[in-house]
Amino acid sequence: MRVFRHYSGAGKVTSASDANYPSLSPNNNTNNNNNTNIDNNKNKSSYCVVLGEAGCGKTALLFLSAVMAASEFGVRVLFLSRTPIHTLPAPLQGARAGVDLLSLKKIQFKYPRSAVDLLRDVASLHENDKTLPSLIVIDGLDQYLRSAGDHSQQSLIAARLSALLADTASFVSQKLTSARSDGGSGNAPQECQVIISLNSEAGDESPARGQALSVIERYFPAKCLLEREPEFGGTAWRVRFSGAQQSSCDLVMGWRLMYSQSGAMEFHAVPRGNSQTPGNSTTAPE
Amino acid sequence: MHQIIDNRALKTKFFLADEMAPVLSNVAEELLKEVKKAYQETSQIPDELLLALKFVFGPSALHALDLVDQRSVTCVTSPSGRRVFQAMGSSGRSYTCYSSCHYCPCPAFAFCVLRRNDSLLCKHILATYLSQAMGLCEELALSDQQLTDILLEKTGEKVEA
Repeated sequence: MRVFRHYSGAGKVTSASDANYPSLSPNNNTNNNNNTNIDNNKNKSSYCVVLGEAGCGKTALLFLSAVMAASEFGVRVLFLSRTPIHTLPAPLQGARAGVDLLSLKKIQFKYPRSAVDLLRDVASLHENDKTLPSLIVIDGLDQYLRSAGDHSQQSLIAARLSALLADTASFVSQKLTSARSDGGSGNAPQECQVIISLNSEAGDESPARGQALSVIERYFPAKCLLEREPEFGGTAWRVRFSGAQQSSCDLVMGWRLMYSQSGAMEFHAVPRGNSQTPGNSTTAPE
Repeated sequence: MHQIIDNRALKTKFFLADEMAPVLSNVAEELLKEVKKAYQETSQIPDELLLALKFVFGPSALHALDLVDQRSVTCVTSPSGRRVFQAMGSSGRSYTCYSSCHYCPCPAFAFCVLRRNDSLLCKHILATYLSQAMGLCEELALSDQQLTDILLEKTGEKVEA
């Protein structure tokens, strides 16, 4: 997943000693069996869904991604959430000095109240080509689904939203690529990425959740799952990636997200081979 | 393709790009390219390609070809460059299908594709691919705001929730 790949090398915001962001490289076709891309348009981005229980830090993580995209890469970001963000998420507050406040201006925050409003916000992006974001973040997609009705209605809305996001991102990517070949700035992004987050409660096997998630996974093949690690007493989460093409280092390394005494986020590289879960990740880690 | 092979196994092995990716598999893409070429040269689709279409896409293939015959697919664009397709269904309703990934608001897509994972696309989506390959899309140019409404299906069926 391109966005995370660029984050190797400690970001300003975290305080871990050897924090290194995971490097998934979408162009590294190590074990992909549809390698022969006859049509070059096939090289699509892997949009990512972040899953985890309430309180594990998804909002902070998404916010961090948005800030890094804006400050390190000068990327315009659209951050959508049902809950307004008034202050820096708690886990990032300790590093406030490191956050380039000017870059926050590149992030547009919107708080659509309902699924219909969210759809409109995404569907109307093409209307203003001066403010096309190269990163679209939706925090807490499940909040929009909840009010949609029964579980089949929820998965229909989930499908519509996911497909619209994917199509919108694809359109923006095309625009960016053509702007670039018209002699635009050399550092301009070439792709529009999408990251969404979903609450997944441990032990929640509701059909609604399962159905909606499997629908979303079609359009968001890269999954980032945060699993509680009880042996650390509720302050550590194992970060697992699946579904995206992975670089070789991901075969030996995993990640752990820990919260320090002050509540700050730290990322630690963890050698693979301990606590591997077999098969595909599911929404209910325990 | 001329052998008698277990339909499902073959489909699983060759026709699915990856598990549930909402884009065409390589085989399906190749087939559409052949259709395009044959149609450009002869203004019709030869029998062996029709057979291949039925094999790859199942029962949707014939329904989709009917829709193409009826010129049911419209390519809708706006000054921004954004593009979507509208397929007029048999009931007279129009469905908005995307150009970059598989999605259709029709009941068949919701049931056969999303819920049961029986197929990868519905006849409307296939009709848009075929219409493009054969150059038989109607064209419609709208304003950016009107295109937003199309994306939200304001004019089509009701929007859920």
